Amino acid sequence: MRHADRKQFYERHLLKCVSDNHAITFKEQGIWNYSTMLIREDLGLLVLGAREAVFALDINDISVSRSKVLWKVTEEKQKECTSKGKHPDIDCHNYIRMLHQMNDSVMYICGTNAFSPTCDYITYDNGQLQLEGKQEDGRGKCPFDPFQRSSSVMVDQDLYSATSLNFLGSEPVILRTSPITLRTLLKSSWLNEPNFIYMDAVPESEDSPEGDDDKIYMFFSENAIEYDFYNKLVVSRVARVCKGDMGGLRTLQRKWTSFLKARLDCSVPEPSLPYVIQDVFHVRHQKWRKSVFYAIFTSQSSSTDQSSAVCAYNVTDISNVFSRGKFKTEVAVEMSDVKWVTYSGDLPVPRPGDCINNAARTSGIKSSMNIPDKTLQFIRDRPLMDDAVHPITGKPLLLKRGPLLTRLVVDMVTAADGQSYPMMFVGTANGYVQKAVNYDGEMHIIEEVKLFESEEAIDVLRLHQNQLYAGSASGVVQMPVSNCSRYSSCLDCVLARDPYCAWDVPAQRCSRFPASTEHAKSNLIQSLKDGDATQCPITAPIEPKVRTLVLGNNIRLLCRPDSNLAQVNWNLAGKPLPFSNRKYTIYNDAILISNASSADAGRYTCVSVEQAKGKHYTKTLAIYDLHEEVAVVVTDKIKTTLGIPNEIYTTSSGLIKPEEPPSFSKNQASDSKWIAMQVALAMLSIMMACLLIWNLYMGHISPFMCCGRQPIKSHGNLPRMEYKSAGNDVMDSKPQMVNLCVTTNSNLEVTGFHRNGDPSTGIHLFKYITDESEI
Amino acid sequence: DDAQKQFSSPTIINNVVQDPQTGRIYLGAVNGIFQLNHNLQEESRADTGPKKDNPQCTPPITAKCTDAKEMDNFNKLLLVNSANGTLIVCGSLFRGICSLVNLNSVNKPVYYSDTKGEKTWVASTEESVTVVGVISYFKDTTTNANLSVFLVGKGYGSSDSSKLISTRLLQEHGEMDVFENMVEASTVQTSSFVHRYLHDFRYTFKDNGYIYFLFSRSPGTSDSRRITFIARLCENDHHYYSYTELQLNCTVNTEQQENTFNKVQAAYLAKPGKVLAQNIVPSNLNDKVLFGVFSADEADGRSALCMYPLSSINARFEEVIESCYTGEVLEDDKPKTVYSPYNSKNEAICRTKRDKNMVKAYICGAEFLPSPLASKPEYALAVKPIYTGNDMLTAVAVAVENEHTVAFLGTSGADVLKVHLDPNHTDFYNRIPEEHTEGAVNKNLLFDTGLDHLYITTGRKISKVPVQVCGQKNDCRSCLVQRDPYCGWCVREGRCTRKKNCHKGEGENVWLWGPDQACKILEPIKIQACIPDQTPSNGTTTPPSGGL
Repeated sequence: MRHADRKQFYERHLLKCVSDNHAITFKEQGIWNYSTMLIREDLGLLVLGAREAVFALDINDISVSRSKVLWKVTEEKQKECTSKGKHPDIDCHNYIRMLHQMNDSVMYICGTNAFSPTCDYITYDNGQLQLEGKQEDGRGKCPFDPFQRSSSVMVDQDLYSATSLNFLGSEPVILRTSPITLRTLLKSSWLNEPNFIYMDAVPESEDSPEGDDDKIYMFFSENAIEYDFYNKLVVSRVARVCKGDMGGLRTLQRKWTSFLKARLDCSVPEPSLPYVIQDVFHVRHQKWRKSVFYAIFTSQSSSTDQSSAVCAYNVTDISNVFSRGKFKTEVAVEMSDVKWVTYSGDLPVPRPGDCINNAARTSGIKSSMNIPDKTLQFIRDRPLMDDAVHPITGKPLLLKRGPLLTRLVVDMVTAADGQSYPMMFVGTANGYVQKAVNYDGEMHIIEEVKLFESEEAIDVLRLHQNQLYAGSASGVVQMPVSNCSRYSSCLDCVLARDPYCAWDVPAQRCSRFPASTEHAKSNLIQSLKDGDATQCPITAPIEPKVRTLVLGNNIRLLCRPDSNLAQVNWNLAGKPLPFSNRKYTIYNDAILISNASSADAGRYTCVSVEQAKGKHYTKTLAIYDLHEEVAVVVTDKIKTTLGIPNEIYTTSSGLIKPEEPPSFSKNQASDSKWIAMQVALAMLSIMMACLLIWNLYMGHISPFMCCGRQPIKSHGNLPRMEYKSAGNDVMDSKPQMVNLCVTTNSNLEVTGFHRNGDPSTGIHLFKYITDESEI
Repeated sequence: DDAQKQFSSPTIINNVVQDPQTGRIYLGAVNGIFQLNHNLQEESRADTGPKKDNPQCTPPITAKCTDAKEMDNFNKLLLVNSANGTLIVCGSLFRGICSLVNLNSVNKPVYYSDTKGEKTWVASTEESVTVVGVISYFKDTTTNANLSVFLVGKGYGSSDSSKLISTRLLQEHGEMDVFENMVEASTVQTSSFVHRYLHDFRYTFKDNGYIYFLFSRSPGTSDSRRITFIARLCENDHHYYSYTELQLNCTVNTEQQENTFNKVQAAYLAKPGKVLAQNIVPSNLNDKVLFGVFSADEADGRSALCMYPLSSINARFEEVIESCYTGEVLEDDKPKTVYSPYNSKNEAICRTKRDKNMVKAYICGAEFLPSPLASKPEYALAVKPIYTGNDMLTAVAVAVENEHTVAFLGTSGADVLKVHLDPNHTDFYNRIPEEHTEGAVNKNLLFDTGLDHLYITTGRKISKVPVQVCGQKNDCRSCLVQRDPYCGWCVREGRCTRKKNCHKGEGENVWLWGPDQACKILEPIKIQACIPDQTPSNGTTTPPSGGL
């Protein structure tokens, strides 16, 4: 009976081991550049485009690949590409760069096809992906260069794309492929060496008293024509065209008649060159006027200071600049130069760039083919607005130094207070995803998760049904948007200020919000803006644990905070212990007492300190009473009482002994770095320990935890014989446990960092094994 | 037969072309097109203007164009398309659109449309903007059919087509209209930068699968001094990948990078006579030579004639192109021989190292090769003038007579100078004066089909003038002293004639030409005649005044 109980415990612990990571990965040997994703909710699929392959993954578990199809470059194509000077292993492959759903059964797919862009149709039938093999010319839809940014959107089966038309990348185009193909003019005042980032449609014809048309918005960066800089200056732009645009009858033939562009402003407090847009996410709203575009900006590549910002823009603010703002016009200066100034003359009627609306239809203009030439000539020569589009709140929502931000998605989360909060998931250039939310102008970064082992950029992010999907050069990761169960106390749960999480008082756990019933809401504690944890019920005090001090040994006392935002302080007999020194080495989850002596005996207290809105919340996580060994008679008694823990320790030490030298070396290295940090008063990121040690660490903690529980469960002395048998059972179970953890481990690691969006630094968890006290 | 013939137009003549098959002359004048026979007798005419227009309005002109007024129609381009019997007429009205008329009767329209919009705006609305064109072909990649097209070179105009070079359809093809632009290429069609270069096109021709444009332009930097370029394009290049410009220098001192005569005014492509060819193209006597008349920026009005062998032009083109394609760069990774004009993208072109043999396979460029290219000034093709003068030269035509090369040079003063292009002793020997001065000689100097007459256009008048006036020389000395390649002394007939007009002229000492010594063989005969009172004349006989 008792044996069965122990096995049950181990199984539960294994489950915890799995659930701690929550991340699922997908990658296939020899396949790279997972940069294109299409979510097919109707099929329960994440369609994934990579280099020379397309996968249909289970959207609930991306480690399950339902189907795969290869789209390789022919040998002839590769030779042709190589002969044109491109790299055979880097450039001359087929990178899938576009996946769009056309209708219920067909998707449209484009790849670079060794610098000769090609498109095709792909279907998913009877559990099989299938390329139709039509091989359409993809020029103007898909870039030649697999590493050149481009964007596209499918609207009513018309494809809008923004990319380069030619091999050299010198002919940018915004193209609509439809019965009437439209494109931008080859004119530097329209597009001047652009870098296309994003485009999407806004259904502005809905609920429009003026009978307005839907708009397609494009986001890109380009060389500014309106500034007189010696060097080229890159600025960020938003542009717009009308969905119903058919081109002009005699002017702007087969060209956009509604193309307008404006500068996007995302200014940081200190003076700097304009920030350059890198990604956009469109938060759609049922009422389109409330739609918001969130955008990542980074400092100019010529800047030495690497920093990133996130700004948000109301679609109505963008629309107003185009619909009501002034235009810029060029005037000749001296002989060979031009300058762009505000156009102050009268505007032709209808207004340049306007879509066909009721007023236009009334005056006989039923399509862009009827627009008068004065308007068309105006828009052809003056596509740039005078005003910039300014962000909501007038400044960035998030500012961050260090590794650049690359991609973002935003989830609108309804919290207990009934308000919706935009939760930002921001991918970085070194493989992390940050979870950030803005409360009344204050940016709160809840956590930062390392998704990819090697420091490679997050190339694509998608959000669907509380799951985040991230792609990079080497693989794809799926993870839930929140991990509320990680917060084991009310204090941790509330101080995390995660809108997904609320403390469920009756259930005594941190639960995913929203609750299923209205009644349950009243029992949920959440304080997002204030981080007020005083609502938490007072918890029972932690009972001290007794540990034996063996002279000369190194003693490790565990204390692991659940919250990444907490800072851990150790006290001895009520006095705070200094940061790491020769005697004490303080880690994220433990303190190591070196070369224990009689003076080290006493009560050790581990306290976590968390700050929110200027308030400090403390929580005692662990208390240890460290006692020196006593007389023989007492020793015998203690030995009898603590027999099981001692034996467990011996077993653990024995098992790990062969690994001691590497651990010792790593310990030395860590100690050295710790000292360096102390001297330099700077925080350094430390690389994660190797996979083996991590797994050993995971294996190591289990018996310790188990051992910790034994005294509570035991109800008397056990015969020595029975005790030894129990020990054997533990040993037999360990290999299996370790193996299971290995198979499910995704190397997901959570690190803590400071509030206020400071650069992401922190001590990564790393494993070490030292001598335990021995009797 | 040698009687002077002429035709007067009611308006200024802009362009003159000739149908080489029929010898007919076509005049493109202001507000009118005239068809003349080889004797300049009018056969047909068509009015092209004036008409109500405003350059700011998009044709067709309707009541909505509130500022329309009667405007003259300058002829900007006139091309003979013998293949299908049409004349291409492009004017300055209606944004520079073109029309087709019947080659046998210009008053019969073949095609005209002012409703097709900007894609069919070919020429320019501005009088000062020059336009040139040449007929070519365009192979349709889908049907493999050869489409009839013409290529146009046009300077910048603010109200017309923004294309520096364009390829225009001459037949209906699928959904495309006549005169529609067929090549959408950013290399030479990016208007934002073209206007600062101020292209002035003067000449265009085809040769051996290439199309050449001759123009002057400013460098596009703060320096406004104009430079002459010849641009070369492969025929049937669908993307203008092959478009390359080569700077041409006409300078007294070819060692330094001085460029004395920097603006081309007119040009003519011809094979020189053997005497000249042996001197300038000794290895290829059949080579064609581009003869260009150049003017200088200085106010003194000096002008020059320079010769560029076509083989030298092509060799230099190949040199600079190959240097770029094979990746020859300087220390700062900039190209050694070329730069990329009309292109805001300043990335380092010509950096990729390629094999020479591979490069030869792409003489017409490719999508992955840098384009457009222009030679750096250091790699200009520089030649010394073969003739300089104080008259502003505005036209040139070249003929060959008895292996000697004669250049006819039109001036701004309406004269035509005859220059014998002798490599050892070039000088102009005769002047064809204009009776009534009315503007400069039009750059289109043409010969009749037999090369016996020259068509000279000045202002409103076109005249047919003999290339020689030998009959006005009455004695051997005055006949030979001018070293006119056309005129020699016909001994048997005792008169000054062209060689072909001297009976049995091929025999030795039958038709005399050359230094004065040639006449001496006649003197013993005179002595034997026993005319004791006669003595040889020592002075040059003045040609009779009012000769034309």
